[in-house]
Amino acid sequence: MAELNKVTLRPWKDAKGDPYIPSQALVDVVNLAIHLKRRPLLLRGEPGCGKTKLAEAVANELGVPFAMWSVKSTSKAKDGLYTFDAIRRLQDAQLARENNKHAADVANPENYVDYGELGQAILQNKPSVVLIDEIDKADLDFPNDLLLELDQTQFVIDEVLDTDANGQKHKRVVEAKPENRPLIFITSNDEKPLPPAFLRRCLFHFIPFPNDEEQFKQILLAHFVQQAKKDRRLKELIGTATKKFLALRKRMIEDKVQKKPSTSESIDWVNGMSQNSEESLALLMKNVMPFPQALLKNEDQEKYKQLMG
Amino acid sequence: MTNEQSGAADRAANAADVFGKLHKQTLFRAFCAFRRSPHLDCKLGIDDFMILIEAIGAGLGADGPGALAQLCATLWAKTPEQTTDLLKLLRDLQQQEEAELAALAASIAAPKTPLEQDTPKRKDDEAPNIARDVNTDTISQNTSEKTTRPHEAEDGGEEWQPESLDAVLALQMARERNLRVLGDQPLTLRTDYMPVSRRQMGQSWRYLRRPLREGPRTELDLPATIQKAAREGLMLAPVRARRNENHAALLMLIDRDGSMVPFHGLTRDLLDTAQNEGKLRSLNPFYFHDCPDAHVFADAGRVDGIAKEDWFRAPCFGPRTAVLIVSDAGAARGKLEAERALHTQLFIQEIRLHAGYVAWLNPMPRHRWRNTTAEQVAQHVPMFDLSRAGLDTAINVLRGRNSIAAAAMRAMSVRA
Repeated sequence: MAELNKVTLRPWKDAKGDPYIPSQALVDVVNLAIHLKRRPLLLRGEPGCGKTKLAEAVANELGVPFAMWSVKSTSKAKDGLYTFDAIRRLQDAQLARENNKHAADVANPENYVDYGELGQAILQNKPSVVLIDEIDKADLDFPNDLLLELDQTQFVIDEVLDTDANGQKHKRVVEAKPENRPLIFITSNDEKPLPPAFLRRCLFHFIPFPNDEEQFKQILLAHFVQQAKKDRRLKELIGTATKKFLALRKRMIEDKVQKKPSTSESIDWVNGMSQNSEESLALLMKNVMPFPQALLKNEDQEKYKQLMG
Repeated sequence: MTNEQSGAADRAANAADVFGKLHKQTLFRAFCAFRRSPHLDCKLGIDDFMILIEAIGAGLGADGPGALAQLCATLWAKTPEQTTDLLKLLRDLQQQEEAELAALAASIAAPKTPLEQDTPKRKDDEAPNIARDVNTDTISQNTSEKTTRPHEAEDGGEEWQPESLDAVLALQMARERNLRVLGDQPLTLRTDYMPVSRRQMGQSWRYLRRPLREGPRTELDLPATIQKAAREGLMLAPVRARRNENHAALLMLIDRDGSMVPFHGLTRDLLDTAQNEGKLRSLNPFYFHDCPDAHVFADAGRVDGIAKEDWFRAPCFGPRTAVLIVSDAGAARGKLEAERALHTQLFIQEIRLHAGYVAWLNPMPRHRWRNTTAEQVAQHVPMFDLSRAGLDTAINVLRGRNSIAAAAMRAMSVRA
């Protein structure tokens, strides 16, 4: 299997065809991660800035399989590698006593290993992209338990024993060749600080909010290419909406509002307005916010409905 | 090609090589400087530097201004604050570098000295040209890659006029020598007193946990299931166990003001790390001054007072509650006050009635306790100095592992 190529700067698309417009810095970071391979890329940034989308878009751009491991508060590090279904084996063992159908299955513990997202990526020994989403949601031990697996891209299955040429028994080691190591993306929302030993092994990139008006407009336009062909007013609407949105965000930052509207929310907002772009545009011009539900999520944010600028 | 020409060309190639090396050394200086940055709580290792060299070798960070700085940031910085630190550091070093290069270029372009006029004309034509070429190369290389160079250059640049190529090489050699001597210097002055670093505190706190199985039986107990199936010869249903949950409750009682003023930063860090990096189920800080009296306080400014009787009735007390007192117990003043010792002793007895575990952390080193109130108080409560070992032992006491703690305590008092 050929090694992964570099990615270039152009609108990437995820599997659903949604565009993703990376900044030059982000492209460089992704290329660095592709080149170094042995270090996962840790992404931080405001909610809704495209941390999760990035991994999928990169996998699509590179044309390799993509797997997402969504971390929960109860997740254990081992779950992403494999789980061993001992209860099913026990049940099969009982059935095997009745009829011989299951006997062969029970004898081989390999049949009861279920691989997790990361385990699967290492096992298949082909280039792929794995996203470990919101790693900070899990227990503090979670990242520390993954250190070796991320460093060496290998893991041990305790339940499966292999016999080597000398008749010695060893636990099964699953390993990916260096050139086939999965490209690992990790996102964090800063719920908890990550342990330094884990941070040391990661590349780090902070995805900033696209404050540049032109860049932001491009992001919105890319999401509405099809509609813009039919609806001539939409382009104008997006131009105005960008100005109003960035001004609103700036005001909220000045007022030290905790929850600021994000890129993904702005896309929802424009999506709502695009149903009737003429009317929405007229409202925007009058500095009235159409569909405030898409952007304002706290009851004390009523005052922002009156747009400015 | 004459001998002289080829010699000059060789030297030029040599110089380019040396600049290649210098480039690496410069980055290494930046790396060392960044390792001393106060925002950095994990030490970067040499492999972190080698990975940069590998990335540069693969052609990364080569295009556009700031690309190399960005590359360094991606590899070395782990938080936005660290990124800002590192970018500023690189920018400063780069400005320094540009000034040096300008000085060097000026020194080469400067009118000839008497010594230089003595050299044969031909060589005179050849060498400076090559030298200038080499220099412009490095200037463009360096500015485009935003790298930086150490600052010992300025004086060196002007002394070596006669043979500019040699000057560059000699300067380089001097710098390498300096680099070897200087090593990791210059030193930075830090004003905080840190017998235990924040990271060490975080690591120690993680050991304060009290796992207990409580609540409904929701988790599969695999060994029990298999055992039951083996015993009964048939698996009817899996055996389930209660969820394992952490019940560590900590109550921190912190001495404020007076002799504790120098340790405010330390106690704040201690509280902070317990809160954010520890695995506690609940953490309740309270404050007092010198010796806990009829009142303790819920805030560090000691405004929000709570009467002792009410305090002991609060839900944060219980048989599993661990109480950690942080105070110098009079050791900072170096006096023995019998009354204060007695007061403190009575207070500790009261706490023991309401909480499961008590330990005392003293920010003054152990040898300063001798012949002070602290020595008296230490007779009645396990007291440790605020070192890594002291913190770990105190946490062992709070976990109820008294035998381990007692052994550690004996070892510590022998050393003292």
